[in-house]
Amino acid sequence: MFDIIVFALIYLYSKTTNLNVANLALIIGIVLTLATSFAVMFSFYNFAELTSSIVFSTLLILLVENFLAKTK
Amino acid sequence: MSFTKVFLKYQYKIFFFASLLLGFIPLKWFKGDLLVTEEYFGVDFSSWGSLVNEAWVDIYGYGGLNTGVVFKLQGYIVGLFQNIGMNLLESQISWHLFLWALCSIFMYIFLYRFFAKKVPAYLLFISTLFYLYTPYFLGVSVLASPPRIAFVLLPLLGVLILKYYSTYDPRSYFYLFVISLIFFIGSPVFANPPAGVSLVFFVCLSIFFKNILLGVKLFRFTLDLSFFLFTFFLLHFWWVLPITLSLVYQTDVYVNVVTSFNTISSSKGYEVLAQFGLWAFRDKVGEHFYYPYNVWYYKFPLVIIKYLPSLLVLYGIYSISKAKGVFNSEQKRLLKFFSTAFIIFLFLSKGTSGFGGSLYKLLNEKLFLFWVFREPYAKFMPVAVFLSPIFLIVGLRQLVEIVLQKFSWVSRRGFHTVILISLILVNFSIMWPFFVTDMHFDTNDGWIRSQRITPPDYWYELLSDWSPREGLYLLYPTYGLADFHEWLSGYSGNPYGVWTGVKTLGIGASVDANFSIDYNLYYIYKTLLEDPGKFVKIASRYNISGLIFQGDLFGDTQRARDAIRKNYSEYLSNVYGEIEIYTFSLNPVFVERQSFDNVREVDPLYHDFYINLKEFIPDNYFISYKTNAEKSLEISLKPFRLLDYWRDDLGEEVKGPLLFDSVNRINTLKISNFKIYNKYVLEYSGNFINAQPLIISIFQKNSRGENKRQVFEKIIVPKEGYNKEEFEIESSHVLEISPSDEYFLHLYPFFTDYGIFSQKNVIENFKINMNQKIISNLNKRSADNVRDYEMYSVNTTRLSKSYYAVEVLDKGDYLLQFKQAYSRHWRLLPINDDVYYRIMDKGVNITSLLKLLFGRKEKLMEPMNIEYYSNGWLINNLSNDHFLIVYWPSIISEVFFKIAILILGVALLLYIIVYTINSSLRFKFYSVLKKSLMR
Repeated sequence: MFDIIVFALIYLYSKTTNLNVANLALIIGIVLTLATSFAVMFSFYNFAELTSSIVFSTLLILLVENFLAKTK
Repeated sequence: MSFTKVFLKYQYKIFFFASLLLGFIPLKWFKGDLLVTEEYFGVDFSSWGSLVNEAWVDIYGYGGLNTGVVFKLQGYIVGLFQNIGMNLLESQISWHLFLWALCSIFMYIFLYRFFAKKVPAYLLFISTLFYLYTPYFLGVSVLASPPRIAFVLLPLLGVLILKYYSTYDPRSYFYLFVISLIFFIGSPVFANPPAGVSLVFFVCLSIFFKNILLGVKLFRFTLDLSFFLFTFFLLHFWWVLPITLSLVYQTDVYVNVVTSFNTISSSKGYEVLAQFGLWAFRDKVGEHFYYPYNVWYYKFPLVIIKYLPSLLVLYGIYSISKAKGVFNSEQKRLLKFFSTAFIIFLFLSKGTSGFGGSLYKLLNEKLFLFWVFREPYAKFMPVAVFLSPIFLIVGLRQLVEIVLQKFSWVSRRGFHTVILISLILVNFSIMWPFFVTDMHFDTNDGWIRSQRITPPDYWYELLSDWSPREGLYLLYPTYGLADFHEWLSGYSGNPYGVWTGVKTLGIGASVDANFSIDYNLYYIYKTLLEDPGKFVKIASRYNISGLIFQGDLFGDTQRARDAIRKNYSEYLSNVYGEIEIYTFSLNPVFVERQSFDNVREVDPLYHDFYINLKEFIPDNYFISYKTNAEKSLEISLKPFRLLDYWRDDLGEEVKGPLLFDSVNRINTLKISNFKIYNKYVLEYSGNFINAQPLIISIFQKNSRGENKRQVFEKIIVPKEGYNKEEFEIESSHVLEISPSDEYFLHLYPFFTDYGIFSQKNVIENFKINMNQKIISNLNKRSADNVRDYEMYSVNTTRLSKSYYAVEVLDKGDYLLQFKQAYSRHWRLLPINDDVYYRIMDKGVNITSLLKLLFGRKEKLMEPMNIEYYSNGWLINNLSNDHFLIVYWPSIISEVFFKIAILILGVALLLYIIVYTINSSLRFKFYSVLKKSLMR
């Protein structure tokens, strides 16, 4: 369930704020990848799992956006 | 011409050679020592060509279905190295260099083909470096050939997929056929079937993507997929058959193995993101490191650096649609496929953890056979690793362009140089263990498998001096298929089987998990220890030619050595250092003739009463079994006994909740009156909160309290409330003849990782009942199941592992007992005298075998299971006195292997004729092919 919520939230936020979804996903992805590395460094493994999960969902968003890019 | 111009002109060639050089880094690893890896810890791959070339393998115990037949080509290739004069070490080095160098140049070629000079050559080089020394191998096994072969195959498949995507004409079938051929040449990749299957899945996905997602052509998709799968199975049926048979007939065994690993069917998202997986890193913060550098991956600055490639990959995927005018439409289509495949495989690599984990769980539970992917990271990650360099390049290229556009003062050449140097530094810091050979274990603690091995001198002496007999050599002491050898380096494996080719017998006597064979083993070992006179007498009945006393195993073997020497001194034939070899009988007895009077058929329901039956049936009886055992009966002659105290390592009594707060703390329970050869029921109950798997093991300790050996180990996954485990403890181990030793039950977490255990892994009110079900007669399992009677052996010739020719001298009604492990696929073929003599004269011929097997009207009988381990056929009213015993899957496997070789040969021949000799012929060939396919 968490999977879908994260995925939907990013889309929803970009729609309400008129931000480009791909740009938003990229920024979240970069920030959270770095956050993951710091979390691992400080042994906050649960937090690292959470942030990496969101990175995975941003990857999926970028993929979807690549597919949609042609039709836009 | 200036240096820069020359460099730019030849940059792709220069970096090609630089990439090739990267493939030679494994040269640093050997340092004059042999290296062994998880492929059964085989020392000499060249011997595999003959050891595992049939669907039946008889190198260990009484043989079994050979799922390792897929290693055949690997054996032939390494054999080739030795045939041209290389010694063992040189052929090992060549094999690994061969794989790593090929992997490197194939990857470079794939990237070059894909990007077609649109990116600077150094980016191809950097990405090749990243691919070649991915941390993935630190997580599995650096030297294991199957994953490395997968890494060699992937870029080749990539090139062919590029070709396949570039055409819709019949030529695309040619590329699909070549893909199947490539898989055939790299068939050892299927030694781990799920890992190999994930590559096949990748190809199927590419077919789906091309025809369905990038253009809806359902008919074309069905045709392409069917063609690919048909050619694949045609070329691979020779190994698919044994593996399928093993899956079908031993599903329970596989399910058990997989279930015990179920809880680790996930790798943490934060590890997978950086291409690190679960295996090597489960001990990352524990007391034992696989290798010292490991710890740096979790410290600054490397912990940040290891995530840099994933950042670039992320940016690469983002840039696909942003990089306008760079990629043509075909490249864009491919990029869409590659990015989708990358994300699918990356998600699958995580297994059940994190984002998408619930979907994986669903697949695991609902999709047929999906449970075989017990370590998702090890199976799916290679494809994700293969695809990531593409996005690394796309991302880097885009980044460079943006920087150069935004900051016009930045020198293009200088910036490229900075990128090149920093990426080399990043890559080298991640791959450092490969470079400094840090990840080859050199441990000698008796438990961790040593990868670098230094066999003692007496081992080389044994190899050159000893001529073993044809029968089996009983190993003593032994812990099973793999033993821990106390060599200069340590070694875990069975060097006799995988190095000398000597057939050995030991606990776990069946290579294909036919566990009931162990019943006979216990009998053999008990007789060896307790009744030397009888042991020598019965040895040949069990095909035992001799005994290998493995004095070079870990542990105190002196007492056992003395006992064996005392009882069997007259049979001591060879001594090599710590190894003593006793020789008993001249010839093995493969087939024996028994009187009908000796046969009683026993219903599976009474299997557990087998020993009891011995008490009321008269002597001289053989027992045959029905084999579809589903039920068993328990006999308990004494009430359960409760052991009721807990102690920790310091001997303190433990009360209250049990909390695993430290991996060093192993909870220990002393077991009073522990007895080998008994059946135990372990009941435990408690409130398990967030319970992780636990290991329960029983250790024997000496008077000083040191662990001497482990007699039992089981991974348990506690369920809430009441749990029950049953196990029998039988042992062939030398140290059991020390009555003064004490036994302890140890309980400790499977994951020795603080990260996991900091997650409130609390077990409250843990209570263990150790119930010793003393089955009075289990101790007598070794009671004679074979009586002393006159042997009626028959003339038997072992033609190969799967074919035996038999001549029975006296006609009449009898039972023919064939002493290879029971398998329902053995067949007894009555043959005429002239066929027999022709076979004896000229050997077996596949065509005539096929005719004999399938060209007859009457159905051939399946064998009975005799004495829990061997095969038997009742012969009555039969005039033939000559027989062939054949393992039919071997015939089918051999036929299909020959077909595959033939197809490969013809394909190569056509390639040479059509491509290299005459280019105009090529076009003619294509036009003919096109016409015939379009028709």
